[in-house]
Parts: sequence; structure tokens; C-alpha cells
Amino acid sequence: MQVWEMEDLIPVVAKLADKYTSKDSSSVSYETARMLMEAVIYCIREWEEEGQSLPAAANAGAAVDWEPAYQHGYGKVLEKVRRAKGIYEELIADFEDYGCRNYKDTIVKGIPAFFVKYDPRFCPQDHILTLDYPAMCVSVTLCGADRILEYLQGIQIEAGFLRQFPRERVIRVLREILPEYRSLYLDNICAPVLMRAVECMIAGRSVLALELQEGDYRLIGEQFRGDDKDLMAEKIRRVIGVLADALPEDVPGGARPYLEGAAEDFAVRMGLALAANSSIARL
Amino acid sequence: MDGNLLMMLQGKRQQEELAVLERVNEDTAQFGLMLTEDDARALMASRNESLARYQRVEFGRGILDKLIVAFCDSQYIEQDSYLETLEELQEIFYAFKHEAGEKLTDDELLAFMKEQFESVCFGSTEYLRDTCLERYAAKLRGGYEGHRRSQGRGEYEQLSEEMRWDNDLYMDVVKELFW
Repeated sequence: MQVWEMEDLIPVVAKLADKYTSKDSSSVSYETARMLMEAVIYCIREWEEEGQSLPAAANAGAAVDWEPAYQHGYGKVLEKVRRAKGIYEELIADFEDYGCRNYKDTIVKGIPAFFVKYDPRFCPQDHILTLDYPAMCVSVTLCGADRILEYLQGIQIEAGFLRQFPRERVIRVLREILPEYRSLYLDNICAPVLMRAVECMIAGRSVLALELQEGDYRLIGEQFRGDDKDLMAEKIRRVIGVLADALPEDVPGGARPYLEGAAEDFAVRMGLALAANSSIARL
Repeated sequence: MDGNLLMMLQGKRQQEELAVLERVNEDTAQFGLMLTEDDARALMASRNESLARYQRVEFGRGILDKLIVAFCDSQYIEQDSYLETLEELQEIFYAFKHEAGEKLTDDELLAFMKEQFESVCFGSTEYLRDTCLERYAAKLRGGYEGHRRSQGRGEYEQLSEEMRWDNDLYMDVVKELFW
């Protein structure tokens, strides 16, 4: 629950404006004022996220100094940037792009620009990047360091999952979707591989081979016959859970709930794929 | 959000500013310049209009007291037109801040304004706004950085497009008068 009003934060914004102008200018443009107010709100929300207790004066109805809460939130933002950087360093150490240009450009060229240009003090709400390569299951409503941290956590799990398969098998799945996938494929590459793995498991094929035979679609269809979307999603979630549990320990924690997050989308695609007698990975 | 923020700030600052302007009166008295409380309120009201017009927000103590102190020893400001001149100067100040896009600090801008007001403008706020500051703003927008070194002083020579002293004409007149 939001316990502050924008008016309460003005003294904090005023201090930040002083820092922004180095006390050389007594006024700032609306645009700058809006940016600084959003910066303060972003940090206060970080503070709130931790479930911190209200300053005592607020409960007594007196004026509250929000500066400590802001500073605490600002520290949290810095901490998130440090965590994001740690994850990125691990990710890039053995990064495999499977030849997908969009994936490579976003991770190898884009993300470093975030660490160079991100401004946690005056504009923590701006994560700078458009993140052209989409992660499979991350919130697009987040912004700033939160968005980048969640994005990298997701990408790290996806990369860990993809690493379990032979490179040429992953490439084969991508080629099936789009022969010129290297330059033209703009979607997530983990999703079709995970979908294919789910299908292989249901059809009783080798998961590592990521390959289905013609009659397998009928077999998969029978597993979902008469199911509504929710039941299909539940069944798919269970299969993904089994796959996630089989991942080695070097795949970061949180892999299971992250991968299971794709189940509902897969269920919709599964419905369409069964109607077309096709693999869901191709849809 | 912008309009609300402005209203909140204005409400909080009014009493504080009145006290500051009262103290500034003590400094300007030696130059025969004083603001009444009504004058101060009028000045703040016109400042708020200028801030809204140029879409700016002041968080701290604002520029009024600095502006008054910078111009109080001007040979062109008298008590009769004191309030009116200050209103025009502060309007020009915010207009220029808006035009120059944050490139100049308050002190650099005040130094430039005062220098021109006392010299090429001969106390004309109109000339200061429409000629001197317009030229300076255009130069700053074009990427000029010399003000960092000069602190806004001695800058207008390179901007002036008018010949202010024609030596030949001067000599002709001297010859006509004394030869």
C-alpha cells in the first residue's frame, strides 16, 4: 500500500535537483523535474518492496522525512545493478547465440551499453535499452534496474536450459521454424526448444534429440483430447516441471517456476497446433 | 503532474521567500531601492507566471534575491520603476533559461545580463531580451562553450553586429567642430 503522497517527496526531489544542477541553477525544466520526481518515486518503491516499516512520525500523522527511505531504495537499486552485472558476466563467459543475430546483438552489444549509460541517481526508471530480443517469461511492466535484472535472470535460465541440448539440435529446431532464422528470426529461441522438448516427452521420444516423427502429433493430440485450455496448461506445466527438475545444478535457481511460466502460452499454441496437425514449436 | 508540482511548491515557499526579500531590502536600501510586502507578492506572482510560461520549476530559494542583489547598483534602475524592471528582468531570466536549454548557470546568466544591461542596452530590458540574449541563446544552442571560461563576462563583443564606435565619423565631427 502506498503510504506517501507526491507532495511528501518534494523535499527529497529538491535535494536531488540540487545535485542534478550542482546548485548552479535554481530552476529546472518540467521535463527534468518530472524525471527527478520519477527517480525518487522509483527508489521509494524499492524501499516499499522490501516491506520496510513506516517512519514512526508517519503513524503519528506528523510530517515525515522521506530522505532515509529514498536513500535505502537508492542503495537497493545499486545492489540490483551489481547483481545484474554479476549475472551478465556469468552469462557472457560461455555465451552461445546459435547464430541468431538478434539474440547476439541484444546480449553482446546491447546489455553492456546499459551498464555504461544507466543513471541510478537521476534516472533509475530508464533502462535505456529496447531489449529487442524478447525473454520468454519476463514482465514488460517493470522498468529500470528491475527490468534488466529480471531480463538477465530469465536469459540466464534460458541459456542454461538450451545448453543441455546439442547445439546442432537447437539450430535444427530454429531452422524448421525459419530457414533464414540467423538474420530474420526475432522471437525468443528458448520457447520453441522447450515446446519441442515437451512434445518429445509426451510422445515418448528422446528429449535431447528434439525430433518428432509424423505419427507423433496424433499421439500428442490424444493426450489433450477434450481438455480445455486450463487443463492443457496444467498438463504442460507438469511436463515442464519434470524437465526442469532434470536440469543440472549449474542452471540457476528459479528455473522451474520460470520455465513453467510458459505453460499457458504453450497451451494456446498446442490447441492451434493440434487443429493443424503440426508441432507447436512451428507456430 | 507538472502543474500540481508547481502549485505544491509555490504554496510551501511563499512565506520563506517573503522573509528573504525583506532581508534583501536591507542591502538595497543604500541604493534607494525598496520593495513593499505587496511589491514582493506581486514579484512572486509574476515569477510564478514566468515559471509556468517557460515550463520550469524552482525547488529551492529561487532566483529573486540573487537577481535583486545583482541589479540593485544599476545606474538605470530607480525606485519609481524598480518593481516593473525587476518583473521584466526575471521574465527575461526564465525566458533565456528556456531558450538556452540549461546551458548556462544562474550566475553566468546574471553576469551576462547585468553587463549588457549596464553597457550596450543602456538600461533597456527590451534590447537585452530581443537582441543581446537572443543572439547569445542562438550561439549557445549552436554548441558554444566559451561561457564556462568567461563566467558570462565580456561575451557580447563577439556577438555584436552593430558598429558602436566609428572612428572615421568621430574624426570628421571633431574636424568640423575644431578645425
